[in-house]
Amino acid sequence: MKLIKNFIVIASMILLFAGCVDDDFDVPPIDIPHVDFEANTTIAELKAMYSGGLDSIDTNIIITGIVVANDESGNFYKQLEIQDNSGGIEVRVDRYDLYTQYKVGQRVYIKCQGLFLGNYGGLVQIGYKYEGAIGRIPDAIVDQHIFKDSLPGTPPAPILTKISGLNSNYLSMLIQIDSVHFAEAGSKFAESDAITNRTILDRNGQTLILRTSNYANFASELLPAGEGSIRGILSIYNGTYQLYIRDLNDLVNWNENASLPFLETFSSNPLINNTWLAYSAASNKNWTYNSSNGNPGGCMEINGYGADGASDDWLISPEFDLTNATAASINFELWTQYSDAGLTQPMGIYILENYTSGDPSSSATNITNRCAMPAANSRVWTSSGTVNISDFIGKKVRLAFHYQSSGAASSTSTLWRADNVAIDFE
Amino acid sequence: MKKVLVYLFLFNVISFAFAQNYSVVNVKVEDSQNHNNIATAEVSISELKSTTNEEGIASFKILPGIYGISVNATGYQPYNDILALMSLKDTTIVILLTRGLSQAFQQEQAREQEIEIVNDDLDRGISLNPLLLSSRDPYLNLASYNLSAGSFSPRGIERGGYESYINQVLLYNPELDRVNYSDISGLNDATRYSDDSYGLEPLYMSFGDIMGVSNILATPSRIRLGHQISYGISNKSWEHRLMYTYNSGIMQNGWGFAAAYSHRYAYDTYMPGTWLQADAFFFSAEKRFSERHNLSATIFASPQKRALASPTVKEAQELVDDPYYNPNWGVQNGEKRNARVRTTFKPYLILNDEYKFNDNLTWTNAFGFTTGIYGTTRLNWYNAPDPRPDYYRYLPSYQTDPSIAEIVTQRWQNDITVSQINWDKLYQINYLANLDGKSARYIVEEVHNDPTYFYYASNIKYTFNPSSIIYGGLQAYHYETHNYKKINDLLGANYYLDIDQYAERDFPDKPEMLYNNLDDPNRQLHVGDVFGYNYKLNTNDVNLWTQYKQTLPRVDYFVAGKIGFSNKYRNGLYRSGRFPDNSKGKSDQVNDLVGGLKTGAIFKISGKHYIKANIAGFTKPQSNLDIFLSPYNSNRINNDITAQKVLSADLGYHFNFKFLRGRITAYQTYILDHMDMRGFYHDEYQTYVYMSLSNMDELYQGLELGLEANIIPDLSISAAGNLGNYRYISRFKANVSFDNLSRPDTSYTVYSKNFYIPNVPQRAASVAINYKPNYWWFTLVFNYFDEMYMDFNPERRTQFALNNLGPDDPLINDIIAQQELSNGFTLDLSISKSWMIKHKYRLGVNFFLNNILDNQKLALFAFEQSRFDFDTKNIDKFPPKYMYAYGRTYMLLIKLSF
Repeated sequence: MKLIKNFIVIASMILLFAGCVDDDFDVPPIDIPHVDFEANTTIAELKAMYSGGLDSIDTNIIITGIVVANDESGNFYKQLEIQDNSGGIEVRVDRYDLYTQYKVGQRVYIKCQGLFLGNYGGLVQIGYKYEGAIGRIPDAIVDQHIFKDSLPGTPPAPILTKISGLNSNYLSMLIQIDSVHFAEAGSKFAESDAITNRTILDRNGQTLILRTSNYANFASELLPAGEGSIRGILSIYNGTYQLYIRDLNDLVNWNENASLPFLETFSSNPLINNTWLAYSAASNKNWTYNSSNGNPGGCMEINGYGADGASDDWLISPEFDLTNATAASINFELWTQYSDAGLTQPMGIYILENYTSGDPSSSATNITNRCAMPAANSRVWTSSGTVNISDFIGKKVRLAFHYQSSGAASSTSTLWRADNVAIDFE
Repeated sequence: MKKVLVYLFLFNVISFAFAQNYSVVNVKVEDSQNHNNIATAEVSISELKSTTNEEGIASFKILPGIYGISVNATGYQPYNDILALMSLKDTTIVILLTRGLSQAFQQEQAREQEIEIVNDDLDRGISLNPLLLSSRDPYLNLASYNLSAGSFSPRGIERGGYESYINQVLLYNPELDRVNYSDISGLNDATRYSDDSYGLEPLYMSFGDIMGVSNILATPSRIRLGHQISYGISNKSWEHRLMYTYNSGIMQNGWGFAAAYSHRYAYDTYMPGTWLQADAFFFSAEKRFSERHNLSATIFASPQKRALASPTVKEAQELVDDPYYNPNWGVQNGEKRNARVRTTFKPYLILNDEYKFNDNLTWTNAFGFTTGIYGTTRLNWYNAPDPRPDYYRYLPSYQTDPSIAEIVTQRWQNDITVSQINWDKLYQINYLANLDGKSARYIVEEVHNDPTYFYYASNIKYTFNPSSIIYGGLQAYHYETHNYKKINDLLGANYYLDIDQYAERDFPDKPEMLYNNLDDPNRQLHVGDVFGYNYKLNTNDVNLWTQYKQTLPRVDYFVAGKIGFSNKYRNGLYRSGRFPDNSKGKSDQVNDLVGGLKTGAIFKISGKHYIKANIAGFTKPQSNLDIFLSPYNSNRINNDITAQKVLSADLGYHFNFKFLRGRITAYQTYILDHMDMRGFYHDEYQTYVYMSLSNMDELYQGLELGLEANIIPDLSISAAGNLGNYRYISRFKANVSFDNLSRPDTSYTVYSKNFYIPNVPQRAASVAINYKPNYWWFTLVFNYFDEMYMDFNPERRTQFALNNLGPDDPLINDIIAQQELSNGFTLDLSISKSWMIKHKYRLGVNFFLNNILDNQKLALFAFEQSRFDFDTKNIDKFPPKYMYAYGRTYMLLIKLSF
């Protein structure tokens, strides 16, 4: 018993002595960042100061903006897009997974002194020097220049615009364009091995490039059919606007079953399967397909020069059922070269009613005077403008281009091309 | 000055009496000062053991011949000599013991040097082998006590090769092919006594292996009697240790009880950011029913929680000017927090039964069982920046612009949130994810390899006569590890998702592939939830062995043989999205029939010279860890699997003069058809990659030299040296599998022939000066390490790595050459002193000062990263990682025994 007593006494001493290492750690509180200085320059003012090339910022310029895009989906890589009321700017940062720290809706302040402005393909960016050109802000100094203020809030509403309304003030800002669709519906957003351009079209046939990285997590998703609104960050490369979406949530109110306005860009010869019809009333020179001189790509073309006589040729669109329409308009583009001494206007625009085949002239209504036509020998693609054809509501109609020449010599024939024919009705 | 006096009457006695077939030798042990009898001294003649009685006498029945004799008694210096019995005549020898410190004190140092370090890529621990601690061989004494602080391993064998038992139960991890020494850590006094053999010689309970066998004797009949209390302070793996051990011995009623408890802790161990909290418990009860029948039950556990250090690149170490820079920790709310914490708890139950049918036949049965946890935490992250401070992109060398590299350097040197883990930032990022209702970006996960182990052995010993013994028995075990991951801390987040982000990225159009468990996809995980992978590895092993030993006047020899069967399989608990048809349930069984033979002899030329020779050949199954192509997520087996073949021989000359004793031994070992699985995260392919190496043939050859010279009785010098040549002698075959299946499995040849076995010095030497005036013990040791080579990345030794290089391109050598690590030396000092108080209490004080000159350039291990830039072939892009042996350390132990 004495042994047991000894043992207990000694064991108790040991337990008293026993040190313990605390491995329960305090949980840090949520850090609500706060900036105690103010911006002194708007983003637009900063961009206006850019003088070209690699431009160092030597003065104490502070801008502020809200993050409207980051690298969360992988479509943007090591960059943030921020905007204030005056404009937006791309901030290039040499850090991965920026989205874990700079969420969409996060207000940031950027102390620009020591950073650089530059441009890539015409887009002004803020970053750091890299081999004599604009590069990314090194990870090590990011936290000395970019400061978060408060928790992420609601991101600014996108600027509602149209493809025709795009301008450089919107660059690096979040914009939204309604009633658009994709030319390559059913294709992947991006091919697996390269950054990929797709075409956004509006109802008027206006186009805008949708540019998507193959590293985006939605790259292998398919471009939806139908129509909806698209949001994204506007960018530019060598004079051509490009739109980058942040993720698939930027396709808004998409209706995959929407009946699309008719749009023909002549990416293939429409006469082969009789989608479009050509009727030659005179001469052996007829409407033909031109695969390379369109705006862009293919177009339809006719030239009466060298024919076996004066030409009289019709190009006839598919039929549109305006029986239940409430509004209808058309839009197309024409290009012409040379002059016909015998005709003031070699090209006539017509609406055909209930046409099936044969000579269309009997059912044709001339609407040429409603359209903006290219000047003779102007050699510029010219849009017709939106041409109202609401007076044909309730009928089944086709659009027709009627070409004529007064002869077959160079002074009595002209060259015409037609492209991007849109017929919009609701 | 008191001298050690030895009277060996036997050298002068020659007789030719044939009346009996053995001699009775009485060994009488006395105190050299007062010639009082010493009772309970342990006397061994060869492998016979006895304890002295009240008259100080131990009796042996032996045949004429030459034997090693040793005597150990508490409070006295150990005694070793050679006994030459030239005739069949009963006799008495008197051995005088000098007071001083016992062997046990000396052992303390080596046992305490146990360190454990985790290597992220190879997940290898390094710990000291206590098998070698009780050797009386001058070579092994030095090698185990002193060279172990570096990476020295006797005969170059780093893992495998040893068998360590506690009460005849094998302490073994067949997956790592390694002894689980940490299972008995903190129980130093309870596990101090052992029977050992070195090299190929078997002990009495198995066929043995190539490096040796040790059986720790931890029962009341074996542990030192009475109370032992010790307290230690140190700056190594613990700061404070308190240990108490009590043993009643076998009492008159036949019962005996022993118990031990220890507590070790450290707020800061030698490696920065690491800490330790460890307890150890031990209890053993023994019942002696009669002189013939003995039964004991022993339970013990050494629960530990330990923060780990990881190797890192030289650049990081140089940036913070600390070779012991540890990337595993960072500051959280002002406190140091380590991301890698290992928790182990494996209680053992051991039952022993020994039954003597008669003086000649003994039957022992041993049963062991343990089950428990072995978990190691680490950071994990999902689509977020790498949180590890030494990630290569965060280092100045990643920057191409010197001015930016300078900024990064400044930040590393001045900002602890840059040079260490920035915990607060990880929390803030998770908080932001919470705002969107998203999954955690960062978590701490705990990787588990929880073992369950059953062991049973039944052995018979039959003594034909004292010089002729046969042993035999059966050993069987079942070993199972449950491998899985568990959420340990969400770091402020609300949940985590159980998906493979790498599959998610590489296979966006195959969503089923990203699920780790198809049967329960899209799970939101919380703390404690199991995720990632979940499978069990099973090993079943049984063998029959026998051994015959005979002692003849001029030669002792043994022959041993074994035949065994091993069975292994994987049992998947998750149906992986990457291998939906081949991940859940049991894999094919891998069965091996193995066996081998051993023999060895001691040729006794005279009492002063003898020659030892041993040879063994046997086969050995591959480890369970090395046979599966992608064990985390599939049951696929490497088709190249074949048993390992081991061939080993040694030849030694031993001499024993009055003032000089020692030996020189040549050894050669082949390990053929070894396999090795290396798993690592591949930064370029951004997925976990499994590299399964097969056809690894290894050669270990060399010379061992041990010397001990007694200059004057109190002063001795001992020396040990090893000249080794450890090489791979084949070209490996590598099978590579990508966890996310982003690339097909490939296999290629690794041009590895004649590469050095890495991370073990091929040459090492140690010289010790021992000065032992009465009750004092001073030892100064000089250790030298040389020719240690870095572990190499097999991918760099392939045809592919040299693509597009001309035959004379100097890059070729840079890419394929194996790097040598720096050589160096250390100096150690130990001072011990003991006092006897009131003839009852013994107080001992040990002080150890290791690496006095603070040499911080000795690598403990180093390895090339498992990545190579095949395009630029720049070998510095992913530089090697290093872990260095401790600099100057100390340990002070105070021990009271009564």
